[in-house]
Amino acid sequence: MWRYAAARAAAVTPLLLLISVIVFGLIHAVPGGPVEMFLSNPNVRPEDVARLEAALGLDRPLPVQYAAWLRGFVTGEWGYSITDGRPVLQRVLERVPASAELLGASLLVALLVSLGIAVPAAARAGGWFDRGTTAAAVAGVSLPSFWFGLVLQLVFAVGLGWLPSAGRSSFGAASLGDRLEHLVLPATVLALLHAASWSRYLRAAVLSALAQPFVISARARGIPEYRVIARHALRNAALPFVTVVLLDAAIVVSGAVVTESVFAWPGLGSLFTESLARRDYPVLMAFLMAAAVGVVALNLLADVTYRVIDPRVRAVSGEQ
Amino acid sequence: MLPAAGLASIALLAVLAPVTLPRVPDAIDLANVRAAPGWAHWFGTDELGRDLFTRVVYGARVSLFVGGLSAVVSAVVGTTIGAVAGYARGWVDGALMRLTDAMLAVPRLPLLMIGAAIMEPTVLGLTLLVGLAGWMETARVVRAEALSISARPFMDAARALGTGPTRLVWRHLIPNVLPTVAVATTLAVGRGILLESAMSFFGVGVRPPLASWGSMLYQAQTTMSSEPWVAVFPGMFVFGTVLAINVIGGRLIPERH
Repeated sequence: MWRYAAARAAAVTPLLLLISVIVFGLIHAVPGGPVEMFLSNPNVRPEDVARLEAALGLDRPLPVQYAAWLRGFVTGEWGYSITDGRPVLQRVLERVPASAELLGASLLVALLVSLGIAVPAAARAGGWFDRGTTAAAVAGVSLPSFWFGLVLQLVFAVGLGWLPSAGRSSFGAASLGDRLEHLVLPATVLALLHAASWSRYLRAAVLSALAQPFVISARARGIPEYRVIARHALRNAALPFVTVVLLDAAIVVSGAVVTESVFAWPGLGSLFTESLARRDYPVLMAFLMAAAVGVVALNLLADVTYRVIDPRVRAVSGEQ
Repeated sequence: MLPAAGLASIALLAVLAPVTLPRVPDAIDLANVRAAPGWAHWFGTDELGRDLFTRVVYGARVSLFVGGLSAVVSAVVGTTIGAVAGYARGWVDGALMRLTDAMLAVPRLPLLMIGAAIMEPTVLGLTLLVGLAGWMETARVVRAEALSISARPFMDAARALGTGPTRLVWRHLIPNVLPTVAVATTLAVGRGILLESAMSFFGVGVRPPLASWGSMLYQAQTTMSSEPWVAVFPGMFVFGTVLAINVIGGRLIPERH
Protein backbone atom coordinates (compact mmCIF):
# COMPACT_ATOMS: atom_id res chain seq x y z
CA MET A 1 0.00 0.00 0.00
CA TRP A 2 2.77 2.45 0.90
CA ARG A 3 4.57 1.81 -2.34
CA TYR A 4 1.38 2.61 -4.23
CA ALA A 5 0.77 5.70 -2.13
CA ALA A 6 4.32 6.93 -2.73
CA ALA A 7 4.04 6.27 -6.45
CA ARG A 8 0.78 8.20 -6.64
CA ALA A 9 2.21 11.06 -4.58
CA ALA A 10 5.15 11.27 -6.97
CA ALA A 11 2.81 11.24 -9.97
CA VAL A 12 0.90 14.11 -8.47
CA THR A 13 3.95 16.43 -8.30
CA PRO A 14 3.81 17.56 -11.95
CA LEU A 15 0.13 18.28 -11.37
CA LEU A 16 0.93 20.52 -8.41
CA LEU A 17 3.63 22.31 -10.39
CA LEU A 18 1.18 22.92 -13.21
CA ILE A 19 -1.34 24.34 -10.74
CA SER A 20 1.31 26.62 -9.26
CA VAL A 21 2.13 27.95 -12.73
CA ILE A 22 -1.57 28.63 -13.36
CA VAL A 23 -1.98 30.47 -10.04
CA PHE A 24 1.23 32.47 -10.45
CA GLY A 25 0.39 33.35 -14.06
CA LEU A 26 -3.09 34.52 -13.07
CA ILE A 27 -1.87 37.04 -10.51
CA HIS A 28 0.83 38.35 -12.82
CA ALA A 29 -1.64 38.67 -15.69
CA VAL A 30 -2.56 42.09 -14.32
CA PRO A 31 -1.09 44.76 -16.56
CA GLY A 32 1.25 46.39 -14.11
CA GLY A 33 1.58 43.37 -11.87
CA PRO A 34 0.79 43.23 -8.16
CA VAL A 35 1.51 46.92 -7.68
CA GLU A 36 -1.08 48.01 -10.26
CA MET A 37 -3.32 49.53 -7.61
CA PHE A 38 -0.62 52.08 -6.87
CA LEU A 39 -0.22 53.08 -10.49
CA SER A 40 -3.47 55.02 -10.58
CA ASN A 41 -2.81 56.77 -7.29
CA PRO A 42 -1.60 60.33 -8.06
CA ASN A 43 0.22 60.57 -4.73
CA VAL A 44 2.49 57.69 -5.60
CA ARG A 45 5.47 58.84 -7.64
CA PRO A 46 7.04 56.62 -10.30
CA GLU A 47 10.22 56.42 -8.19
CA ASP A 48 8.19 55.06 -5.29
CA VAL A 49 6.62 52.42 -7.51
CA ALA A 50 10.07 51.46 -8.78
CA ARG A 51 11.38 51.23 -5.24
CA LEU A 52 8.39 49.12 -4.22
CA GLU A 53 8.89 46.83 -7.15
CA ALA A 54 12.55 46.39 -6.31
CA ALA A 55 11.70 45.68 -2.66
CA LEU A 56 9.13 43.07 -3.65
CA GLY A 57 11.51 41.58 -6.19
CA LEU A 58 9.20 42.40 -9.07
CA ASP A 59 12.01 43.70 -11.26
CA ARG A 60 13.47 40.23 -11.54
CA PRO A 61 12.66 38.05 -14.52
CA LEU A 62 9.37 36.16 -14.19
CA PRO A 63 10.83 32.64 -13.91
CA VAL A 64 13.05 33.85 -11.05
CA GLN A 65 10.04 35.37 -9.28
CA TYR A 66 8.09 32.17 -9.82
CA ALA A 67 10.88 30.03 -8.36
CA ALA A 68 11.16 32.32 -5.34
CA TRP A 69 7.40 32.28 -4.76
CA LEU A 70 7.22 28.51 -5.11
CA ARG A 71 10.12 27.99 -2.73
CA GLY A 72 8.45 30.32 -0.27
CA PHE A 73 5.14 28.49 -0.54
CA VAL A 74 6.69 25.12 0.11
CA THR A 75 8.64 26.36 3.14
CA GLY A 76 5.67 28.13 4.67
CA GLU A 77 6.83 31.67 3.88
CA TRP A 78 3.71 32.91 2.23
CA GLY A 79 4.57 36.58 2.26
CA TYR A 80 2.89 39.44 4.04
CA SER A 81 -0.71 40.54 3.72
CA ILE A 82 -1.30 43.92 2.07
CA THR A 83 -4.30 44.48 4.35
CA ASP A 84 -2.51 44.54 7.68
CA GLY A 85 1.10 43.64 7.00
CA ARG A 86 0.97 40.46 9.01
CA PRO A 87 2.34 37.16 7.66
CA VAL A 88 -0.17 35.52 5.34
CA LEU A 89 0.32 32.12 6.94
CA GLN A 90 -0.65 33.54 10.31
CA ARG A 91 -3.78 35.20 8.91
CA VAL A 92 -4.78 31.94 7.26
CA LEU A 93 -4.14 29.74 10.28
CA GLU A 94 -6.14 31.88 12.67
CA ARG A 95 -9.22 31.46 10.48
CA VAL A 96 -8.97 27.68 10.27
CA PRO A 97 -10.90 26.85 13.49
CA ALA A 98 -13.99 28.77 12.39
CA SER A 99 -14.01 27.14 8.98
CA ALA A 100 -13.37 23.73 10.49
CA GLU A 101 -16.36 24.21 12.79
CA LEU A 102 -18.67 25.20 9.96
CA LEU A 103 -17.43 22.59 7.51
CA GLY A 104 -17.44 19.86 10.11
CA ALA A 105 -21.01 20.54 11.15
CA SER A 106 -22.33 20.96 7.62
CA LEU A 107 -20.55 17.88 6.22
CA LEU A 108 -21.86 15.76 9.07
CA VAL A 109 -25.42 16.94 8.45
CA ALA A 110 -24.96 16.49 4.69
CA LEU A 111 -23.83 12.89 5.15
CA LEU A 112 -26.72 12.10 7.48
CA VAL A 113 -29.27 13.71 5.17
CA SER A 114 -27.78 11.89 2.16
CA LEU A 115 -28.05 8.58 3.99
CA GLY A 116 -31.60 9.34 5.06
CA ILE A 117 -32.62 10.15 1.53
CA ALA A 118 -30.61 7.69 -0.52
CA VAL A 119 -31.26 4.46 1.36
CA PRO A 120 -35.09 4.58 1.41
CA ALA A 121 -35.06 5.90 -2.15
CA ALA A 122 -32.90 3.02 -3.36
CA ALA A 123 -34.88 0.49 -1.36
CA ARG A 124 -38.02 1.40 -3.27
CA ALA A 125 -36.52 2.70 -6.49
CA GLY A 126 -39.07 4.39 -8.69
CA GLY A 127 -41.50 4.86 -5.83
CA TRP A 128 -42.97 8.18 -4.71
CA PHE A 129 -40.21 8.84 -2.17
CA ASP A 130 -37.55 8.20 -4.77
CA ARG A 131 -39.16 10.42 -7.36
CA GLY A 132 -39.86 13.16 -4.85
CA THR A 133 -36.32 13.23 -3.50
CA THR A 134 -34.88 13.09 -7.01
CA ALA A 135 -36.86 16.20 -7.89
CA ALA A 136 -35.67 17.86 -4.69
CA ALA A 137 -32.07 16.94 -5.51
CA VAL A 138 -32.30 18.46 -8.99
CA ALA A 139 -33.76 21.59 -7.40
CA GLY A 140 -30.92 21.57 -4.89
CA VAL A 141 -28.17 21.62 -7.48
CA SER A 142 -29.94 24.35 -9.45
CA LEU A 143 -30.25 26.62 -6.45
CA PRO A 144 -27.81 29.54 -6.22
CA SER A 145 -26.38 28.97 -2.74
CA PHE A 146 -25.85 32.65 -1.99
CA TRP A 147 -29.48 33.40 -2.79
CA PHE A 148 -30.62 30.48 -0.70
CA GLY A 149 -28.59 31.91 2.17
CA LEU A 150 -30.15 35.34 1.66
CA VAL A 151 -33.65 33.88 1.63
CA LEU A 152 -33.01 31.90 4.83
CA GLN A 153 -31.69 35.08 6.44
CA LEU A 154 -34.82 36.94 5.34
CA VAL A 155 -37.19 34.28 6.62
CA PHE A 156 -35.57 33.09 9.82
CA ALA A 157 -33.59 36.10 10.98
CA VAL A 158 -35.33 39.19 9.67
CA GLY A 159 -38.86 37.82 9.33
CA LEU A 160 -39.31 35.38 12.19
CA GLY A 161 -36.40 36.50 14.35
CA TRP A 162 -35.71 32.92 15.44
CA LEU A 163 -32.05 32.86 14.49
CA PRO A 164 -29.22 35.38 14.13
CA SER A 165 -28.45 36.43 10.59
CA ALA A 166 -24.66 36.59 10.65
CA GLY A 167 -21.47 36.00 12.57
CA ARG A 168 -20.23 33.17 14.72
CA SER A 169 -21.42 34.45 18.09
CA SER A 170 -23.01 37.51 19.65
CA PHE A 171 -20.82 40.11 21.32
CA GLY A 172 -19.78 38.88 24.72
CA ALA A 173 -22.13 35.92 24.75
CA ALA A 174 -20.04 32.89 23.87
CA SER A 175 -22.38 30.30 25.34
CA LEU A 176 -22.82 27.03 23.53
CA GLY A 177 -26.44 27.78 22.78
CA ASP A 178 -25.54 31.11 21.21
CA ARG A 179 -22.78 29.52 19.13
CA LEU A 180 -25.14 26.78 17.97
CA GLU A 181 -27.78 29.34 17.01
CA HIS A 182 -25.28 31.11 14.79
CA LEU A 183 -24.17 27.84 13.27
CA VAL A 184 -27.63 26.66 12.18
CA LEU A 185 -28.28 28.79 9.10
CA PRO A 186 -24.86 28.68 7.40
CA ALA A 187 -24.48 24.96 8.16
CA THR A 188 -27.94 24.30 6.72
CA VAL A 189 -27.10 26.09 3.47
CA LEU A 190 -23.86 24.14 3.03
CA ALA A 191 -25.38 20.84 4.11
CA LEU A 192 -28.30 21.02 1.71
CA LEU A 193 -26.06 22.17 -1.10
CA HIS A 194 -23.91 19.06 -0.79
CA ALA A 195 -26.64 16.65 0.19
CA ALA A 196 -28.42 17.42 -3.09
CA SER A 197 -25.65 15.83 -5.15
CA TRP A 198 -24.32 13.34 -2.59
CA SER A 199 -27.70 11.73 -2.04
CA ARG A 200 -27.80 11.02 -5.77
CA TYR A 201 -24.36 9.39 -5.75
CA LEU A 202 -25.22 7.29 -2.72
CA ARG A 203 -28.54 6.20 -4.18
CA ALA A 204 -26.78 5.08 -7.37
CA ALA A 205 -24.12 3.27 -5.34
CA VAL A 206 -26.70 1.46 -3.21
CA LEU A 207 -28.73 0.49 -6.28
CA SER A 208 -25.60 -0.82 -7.93
CA ALA A 209 -24.76 -2.84 -4.80
CA LEU A 210 -28.30 -4.20 -4.65
CA ALA A 211 -27.90 -5.51 -8.18
CA GLN A 212 -25.01 -7.71 -7.15
CA PRO A 213 -25.42 -11.51 -6.92
CA PHE A 214 -24.53 -11.59 -3.23
CA VAL A 215 -27.74 -9.70 -2.47
CA ILE A 216 -29.83 -12.42 -4.11
CA SER A 217 -28.06 -15.06 -2.06
CA ALA A 218 -28.51 -13.00 1.10
CA ARG A 219 -32.23 -12.72 0.51
CA ALA A 220 -32.40 -16.43 -0.34
CA ARG A 221 -30.84 -17.17 3.01
CA GLY A 222 -33.77 -15.40 4.64
CA ILE A 223 -32.02 -12.24 5.78
CA PRO A 224 -34.66 -9.55 6.34
CA GLU A 225 -34.65 -6.80 3.70
CA TYR A 226 -33.66 -3.98 6.03
CA ARG A 227 -30.57 -5.95 7.02
CA VAL A 228 -29.73 -6.76 3.44
CA ILE A 229 -29.74 -3.06 2.70
CA ALA A 230 -28.13 -1.77 5.85
CA ARG A 231 -25.46 -4.37 6.47
CA HIS A 232 -24.70 -5.72 3.05
CA ALA A 233 -25.58 -3.26 0.32
CA LEU A 234 -24.67 -0.12 2.23
CA ARG A 235 -21.25 -1.43 3.22
CA ASN A 236 -20.41 -2.00 -0.41
CA ALA A 237 -21.84 1.35 -1.41
CA ALA A 238 -20.02 3.25 1.31
CA LEU A 239 -16.61 3.08 -0.29
CA PRO A 240 -17.40 4.56 -3.73
CA PHE A 241 -19.58 7.11 -1.95
CA VAL A 242 -16.81 8.30 0.37
CA THR A 243 -14.45 8.43 -2.61
CA VAL A 244 -16.85 10.67 -4.50
CA VAL A 245 -17.30 12.92 -1.47
CA LEU A 246 -13.53 13.36 -1.19
CA LEU A 247 -13.33 14.12 -4.89
CA ASP A 248 -15.86 16.91 -4.40
CA ALA A 249 -13.38 18.82 -2.24
CA ALA A 250 -12.99 21.71 -4.70
CA ILE A 251 -16.74 22.25 -4.72
CA VAL A 252 -16.78 22.24 -0.94
CA VAL A 253 -14.22 25.06 -0.97
CA SER A 254 -16.27 27.17 -3.39
CA GLY A 255 -19.42 26.57 -1.36
CA ALA A 256 -17.66 27.57 1.83
CA VAL A 257 -16.41 30.82 0.28
CA VAL A 258 -19.93 31.82 -0.69
CA THR A 259 -21.68 30.75 2.49
CA GLU A 260 -19.12 32.22 4.88
CA SER A 261 -19.32 35.53 3.04
CA VAL A 262 -23.12 35.70 3.07
CA PHE A 263 -23.28 34.89 6.79
CA ALA A 264 -20.14 36.86 7.74
CA TRP A 265 -18.72 33.69 9.25
CA PRO A 266 -15.12 34.54 10.25
CA GLY A 267 -13.43 31.67 8.43
CA LEU A 268 -11.19 31.14 5.40
CA GLY A 269 -14.02 31.78 2.94
CA SER A 270 -14.70 35.27 4.18
CA LEU A 271 -10.92 35.87 4.36
CA PHE A 272 -10.94 35.19 0.65
CA THR A 273 -13.70 37.65 -0.21
CA GLU A 274 -12.27 40.32 2.10
CA SER A 275 -8.85 39.93 0.48
CA LEU A 276 -10.45 40.02 -2.95
CA ALA A 277 -12.12 43.34 -2.21
CA ARG A 278 -8.75 44.75 -1.15
CA ARG A 279 -6.81 43.08 -3.97
CA ASP A 280 -4.60 41.50 -1.31
CA TYR A 281 -2.71 39.33 -3.79
CA PRO A 282 -0.36 37.54 -1.37
CA VAL A 283 -3.34 36.20 0.54
CA LEU A 284 -5.26 35.35 -2.63
CA MET A 285 -2.37 33.44 -4.16
CA ALA A 286 -1.70 31.53 -0.97
CA PHE A 287 -5.39 30.70 -0.65
CA LEU A 288 -5.71 29.38 -4.21
CA MET A 289 -2.53 27.36 -4.00
CA ALA A 290 -3.32 25.93 -0.56
CA ALA A 291 -6.86 25.06 -1.62
CA ALA A 292 -5.62 23.30 -4.75
CA VAL A 293 -2.98 21.39 -2.80
CA GLY A 294 -5.66 20.35 -0.31
CA VAL A 295 -7.93 19.15 -3.11
CA VAL A 296 -5.13 17.16 -4.71
CA ALA A 297 -4.21 15.64 -1.35
CA LEU A 298 -7.81 14.58 -0.73
CA ASN A 299 -8.03 13.09 -4.24
CA LEU A 300 -4.86 11.15 -3.50
CA LEU A 301 -6.36 9.98 -0.22
CA ALA A 302 -9.50 8.84 -2.02
CA ASP A 303 -7.44 6.96 -4.57
CA VAL A 304 -5.24 5.17 -2.05
CA THR A 305 -8.10 4.40 0.33
CA TYR A 306 -10.14 2.88 -2.48
CA ARG A 307 -7.31 0.56 -3.43
CA VAL A 308 -6.52 -0.41 0.13
CA ILE A 309 -10.07 -1.21 1.20
CA ASP A 310 -11.34 -2.86 -1.94
CA PRO A 311 -9.33 -6.03 -2.56
CA ARG A 312 -10.93 -6.47 -5.97
CA VAL A 313 -9.21 -3.34 -7.28
CA ARG A 314 -5.85 -4.65 -6.16
CA ALA A 315 -6.47 -8.06 -7.69
CA VAL A 316 -7.37 -6.56 -11.05
CA SER A 317 -4.14 -4.61 -11.23
CA GLY A 318 -2.14 -7.71 -10.37
CA GLU A 319 -0.64 -6.43 -7.14
CA GLN A 320 -0.29 -8.86 -4.23
CA MET B 1 -42.37 19.81 -21.77
CA LEU B 2 -42.98 22.22 -18.93
CA PRO B 3 -39.34 23.20 -18.31
CA ALA B 4 -38.76 23.70 -22.03
CA ALA B 5 -41.85 25.91 -22.26
CA GLY B 6 -40.83 27.92 -19.21
CA LEU B 7 -37.29 28.39 -20.49
CA ALA B 8 -38.53 29.36 -23.93
CA SER B 9 -40.87 31.98 -22.49
CA ILE B 10 -38.12 33.54 -20.39
CA ALA B 11 -35.81 33.58 -23.41
CA LEU B 12 -38.49 34.99 -25.67
CA LEU B 13 -39.42 37.67 -23.16
CA ALA B 14 -35.77 38.58 -22.78
CA VAL B 15 -35.08 38.80 -26.50
CA LEU B 16 -38.21 40.81 -27.28
CA ALA B 17 -37.85 43.09 -24.26
CA PRO B 18 -36.77 46.28 -26.05
CA VAL B 19 -39.80 45.98 -28.30
CA THR B 20 -42.48 44.82 -25.86
CA LEU B 21 -41.65 46.40 -22.51
CA PRO B 22 -42.74 50.00 -21.94
CA ARG B 23 -39.89 50.94 -19.60
CA VAL B 24 -36.09 50.88 -19.80
CA PRO B 25 -34.05 49.25 -17.03
CA ASP B 26 -32.08 52.42 -16.23
CA ALA B 27 -35.08 54.71 -15.86
CA ILE B 28 -34.66 56.39 -12.50
CA ASP B 29 -37.87 57.53 -10.84
CA LEU B 30 -37.08 59.14 -7.51
CA ALA B 31 -40.74 59.68 -6.74
CA ASN B 32 -41.36 55.94 -6.54
CA VAL B 33 -38.33 54.52 -4.74
CA ARG B 34 -38.60 51.25 -2.86
CA ALA B 35 -42.16 50.62 -3.97
CA ALA B 36 -43.62 47.26 -3.04
CA PRO B 37 -44.85 44.99 -5.84
CA GLY B 38 -48.17 46.18 -7.20
CA TRP B 39 -50.08 47.00 -10.35
CA ALA B 40 -47.85 49.88 -11.43
CA HIS B 41 -44.63 47.98 -10.79
CA TRP B 42 -45.18 44.23 -10.92
CA PHE B 43 -41.98 43.41 -9.03
CA GLY B 44 -41.71 46.73 -7.21
CA THR B 45 -38.89 49.23 -7.52
CA ASP B 46 -35.39 49.52 -6.11
CA GLU B 47 -33.76 52.34 -4.18
CA LEU B 48 -33.47 54.47 -7.33
CA GLY B 49 -37.06 53.88 -8.39
CA ARG B 50 -36.10 51.61 -11.29
CA ASP B 51 -38.81 49.13 -12.22
CA LEU B 52 -37.64 45.69 -11.10
CA PHE B 53 -39.69 43.68 -13.56
CA THR B 54 -37.98 45.49 -16.42
CA ARG B 55 -34.60 45.02 -14.78
CA VAL B 56 -35.22 41.31 -14.24
CA VAL B 57 -36.18 40.82 -17.89
CA TYR B 58 -33.18 42.80 -19.14
CA GLY B 59 -31.07 40.92 -16.64
CA ALA B 60 -32.26 37.74 -18.30
CA ARG B 61 -30.65 38.95 -21.51
CA VAL B 62 -27.27 39.30 -19.82
CA SER B 63 -27.46 36.13 -17.76
CA LEU B 64 -28.72 33.96 -20.61
CA PHE B 65 -26.10 35.43 -22.94
CA VAL B 66 -23.27 34.70 -20.53
CA GLY B 67 -24.61 31.25 -19.69
CA GLY B 68 -25.23 30.26 -23.28
CA LEU B 69 -22.09 31.60 -24.92
CA SER B 70 -19.81 30.40 -22.13
CA ALA B 71 -21.29 26.92 -22.58
CA VAL B 72 -20.46 27.09 -26.29
CA VAL B 73 -16.88 28.11 -25.47
CA SER B 74 -16.62 25.25 -22.96
CA ALA B 75 -18.04 22.87 -25.56
CA VAL B 76 -15.56 23.85 -28.24
CA VAL B 77 -12.52 23.76 -25.97
CA GLY B 78 -13.64 20.66 -24.10
CA THR B 79 -14.55 18.68 -27.20
CA THR B 80 -11.25 19.50 -28.86
CA ILE B 81 -9.20 18.53 -25.86
CA GLY B 82 -11.25 15.43 -25.12
CA ALA B 83 -11.30 14.20 -28.71
CA VAL B 84 -7.56 14.69 -29.19
CA ALA B 85 -6.79 13.01 -25.88
CA GLY B 86 -9.10 10.07 -26.53
CA TYR B 87 -7.93 9.55 -30.08
CA ALA B 88 -4.19 10.07 -29.63
CA ARG B 89 -3.83 8.24 -26.30
CA GLY B 90 -0.28 7.83 -24.98
CA TRP B 91 1.59 10.81 -23.63
CA VAL B 92 -0.72 13.31 -25.35
CA ASP B 93 -3.65 11.83 -23.46
CA GLY B 94 -1.63 11.86 -20.23
CA ALA B 95 -0.57 15.48 -20.60
CA LEU B 96 -4.06 16.71 -21.53
CA MET B 97 -5.67 14.83 -18.68
CA ARG B 98 -3.08 16.24 -16.28
CA LEU B 99 -4.04 19.73 -17.46
CA THR B 100 -7.70 18.85 -16.92
CA ASP B 101 -6.98 17.56 -13.42
CA ALA B 102 -5.00 20.71 -12.61
CA MET B 103 -7.87 22.95 -13.68
CA LEU B 104 -10.33 20.84 -11.70
CA ALA B 105 -8.19 20.95 -8.56
CA VAL B 106 -8.30 24.72 -8.28
CA PRO B 107 -11.71 25.69 -6.85
CA ARG B 108 -13.58 27.22 -9.75
CA LEU B 109 -15.48 30.11 -8.22
CA PRO B 110 -12.50 31.57 -6.28
CA LEU B 111 -10.34 31.20 -9.41
CA LEU B 112 -12.92 33.02 -11.54
CA MET B 113 -13.46 35.70 -8.93
CA ILE B 114 -9.75 36.48 -8.81
CA GLY B 115 -9.51 36.42 -12.60
CA ALA B 116 -12.45 38.79 -12.98
CA ALA B 117 -11.21 41.10 -10.22
CA ILE B 118 -7.83 41.35 -11.93
CA MET B 119 -8.97 41.69 -15.51
CA GLU B 120 -12.17 43.70 -14.95
CA PRO B 121 -13.66 42.27 -18.14
CA THR B 122 -16.57 43.38 -20.27
CA VAL B 123 -19.59 41.09 -20.43
CA LEU B 124 -17.99 39.34 -23.40
CA GLY B 125 -14.71 38.95 -21.54
CA LEU B 126 -16.58 37.60 -18.55
CA THR B 127 -18.30 35.07 -20.82
CA LEU B 128 -14.92 33.96 -22.14
CA LEU B 129 -13.53 33.57 -18.61
CA VAL B 130 -16.48 31.47 -17.47
CA GLY B 131 -16.22 29.38 -20.64
CA LEU B 132 -12.50 28.80 -20.15
CA ALA B 133 -13.19 27.57 -16.63
CA GLY B 134 -15.90 25.12 -17.63
CA TRP B 135 -14.45 22.87 -20.33
CA MET B 136 -13.09 20.17 -18.06
CA GLU B 137 -16.29 18.20 -17.57
CA THR B 138 -16.93 18.15 -21.32
CA ALA B 139 -13.32 17.13 -22.01
CA ARG B 140 -13.60 14.19 -19.65
CA VAL B 141 -16.79 12.76 -21.09
CA VAL B 142 -15.68 13.37 -24.67
CA ARG B 143 -12.38 11.65 -23.96
CA ALA B 144 -14.19 8.61 -22.54
CA GLU B 145 -16.42 8.45 -25.61
CA ALA B 146 -13.49 9.03 -27.93
CA LEU B 147 -11.50 6.19 -26.38
CA SER B 148 -14.33 3.79 -27.06
CA ILE B 149 -15.20 5.11 -30.51
CA SER B 150 -11.57 5.09 -31.66
CA ALA B 151 -11.55 1.34 -31.18
CA ARG B 152 -14.56 0.72 -33.39
CA PRO B 153 -14.19 -1.07 -36.72
CA PHE B 154 -15.39 1.85 -38.83
CA MET B 155 -12.41 3.89 -37.58
CA ASP B 156 -10.02 1.13 -38.64
CA ALA B 157 -11.74 0.97 -41.99
CA ALA B 158 -11.38 4.69 -42.55
CA ARG B 159 -7.75 4.53 -41.52
CA ALA B 160 -7.17 1.64 -43.92
CA LEU B 161 -8.63 3.75 -46.70
CA GLY B 162 -5.90 6.29 -46.01
CA THR B 163 -7.78 8.87 -43.97
CA GLY B 164 -5.37 11.12 -42.06
CA PRO B 165 -5.72 11.76 -38.31
CA THR B 166 -7.15 15.26 -38.60
CA ARG B 167 -9.91 14.16 -40.92
CA LEU B 168 -10.53 11.05 -38.83
CA VAL B 169 -11.07 13.12 -35.73
CA TRP B 170 -13.02 15.92 -37.38
CA ARG B 171 -15.24 13.95 -39.78
CA HIS B 172 -15.62 10.62 -38.02
CA LEU B 173 -14.90 10.90 -34.32
CA ILE B 174 -16.46 14.21 -33.38
CA PRO B 175 -19.84 13.70 -35.07
CA ASN B 176 -20.23 10.56 -32.97
CA VAL B 177 -19.52 12.30 -29.67
CA LEU B 178 -21.97 15.12 -30.33
CA PRO B 179 -24.87 13.62 -28.29
CA THR B 180 -22.58 13.47 -25.28
CA VAL B 181 -21.41 17.01 -25.94
CA ALA B 182 -25.03 18.17 -26.16
CA VAL B 183 -25.81 16.91 -22.67
CA ALA B 184 -22.60 18.31 -21.17
CA THR B 185 -23.16 21.68 -22.87
CA THR B 186 -26.75 21.92 -21.64
CA LEU B 187 -25.60 21.40 -18.07
CA ALA B 188 -22.79 23.92 -18.69
CA VAL B 189 -25.35 26.62 -19.49
CA GLY B 190 -26.89 26.23 -16.06
CA ARG B 191 -23.46 26.20 -14.46
CA GLY B 192 -22.47 29.32 -16.38
CA ILE B 193 -25.56 31.19 -15.20
CA LEU B 194 -24.87 30.19 -11.59
CA LEU B 195 -21.21 31.22 -11.87
CA GLU B 196 -22.02 34.59 -13.45
CA SER B 197 -24.63 35.38 -10.84
CA ALA B 198 -22.30 34.37 -8.01
CA MET B 199 -19.47 36.49 -9.41
CA SER B 200 -21.77 39.47 -9.94
CA PHE B 201 -23.16 38.98 -6.44
CA PHE B 202 -19.64 39.49 -5.09
CA GLY B 203 -19.15 42.54 -7.24
CA VAL B 204 -16.61 41.10 -9.67
CA GLY B 205 -18.86 39.98 -12.50
CA VAL B 206 -21.36 42.17 -14.26
CA ARG B 207 -21.00 45.58 -12.61
CA PRO B 208 -23.90 47.83 -11.67
CA PRO B 209 -25.71 49.74 -13.10
CA LEU B 210 -25.84 47.06 -15.81
CA ALA B 211 -28.59 44.67 -14.77
CA SER B 212 -27.87 40.98 -14.53
CA TRP B 213 -29.61 38.78 -12.00
CA GLY B 214 -26.40 38.54 -9.98
CA SER B 215 -25.65 42.27 -9.97
CA MET B 216 -29.24 42.95 -8.88
CA LEU B 217 -28.70 40.63 -5.93
CA TYR B 218 -25.43 42.42 -5.17
CA GLN B 219 -27.29 45.71 -4.96
CA ALA B 220 -30.14 44.09 -3.04
CA GLN B 221 -27.96 43.10 -0.10
CA THR B 222 -28.11 46.50 1.58
CA THR B 223 -31.86 47.04 1.26
CA MET B 224 -32.91 43.43 1.65
CA SER B 225 -34.19 43.61 5.21
CA SER B 226 -36.66 46.39 4.53
CA GLU B 227 -37.47 45.59 0.90
CA PRO B 228 -37.16 41.82 0.53
CA TRP B 229 -38.69 41.73 -2.94
CA VAL B 230 -35.52 43.28 -4.37
CA ALA B 231 -33.67 40.10 -3.48
CA VAL B 232 -36.41 37.55 -4.01
CA PHE B 233 -37.26 38.06 -7.68
CA PRO B 234 -33.83 38.02 -9.37
CA GLY B 235 -32.78 34.96 -7.39
CA MET B 236 -36.04 33.22 -8.17
CA PHE B 237 -35.37 33.67 -11.86
CA VAL B 238 -31.83 32.31 -11.56
CA PHE B 239 -33.20 29.31 -9.71
CA GLY B 240 -36.07 28.72 -12.10
CA THR B 241 -33.96 29.07 -15.23
CA VAL B 242 -31.16 26.81 -14.03
CA LEU B 243 -33.71 24.28 -12.78
CA ALA B 244 -35.43 24.18 -16.18
CA ILE B 245 -32.05 23.75 -17.89
CA ASN B 246 -31.00 20.93 -15.57
CA VAL B 247 -34.29 19.09 -16.02
CA ILE B 248 -33.97 19.34 -19.79
CA GLY B 249 -30.32 18.26 -19.63
CA GLY B 250 -31.27 15.29 -17.49
CA ARG B 251 -33.82 14.19 -20.05
CA LEU B 252 -31.26 14.44 -22.85
CA ILE B 253 -29.06 11.78 -21.29
CA PRO B 254 -29.46 8.73 -23.50
CA GLU B 255 -30.52 5.50 -21.84
CA ARG B 256 -27.68 3.03 -21.97
CA HIS B 257 -28.76 -0.48 -22.90
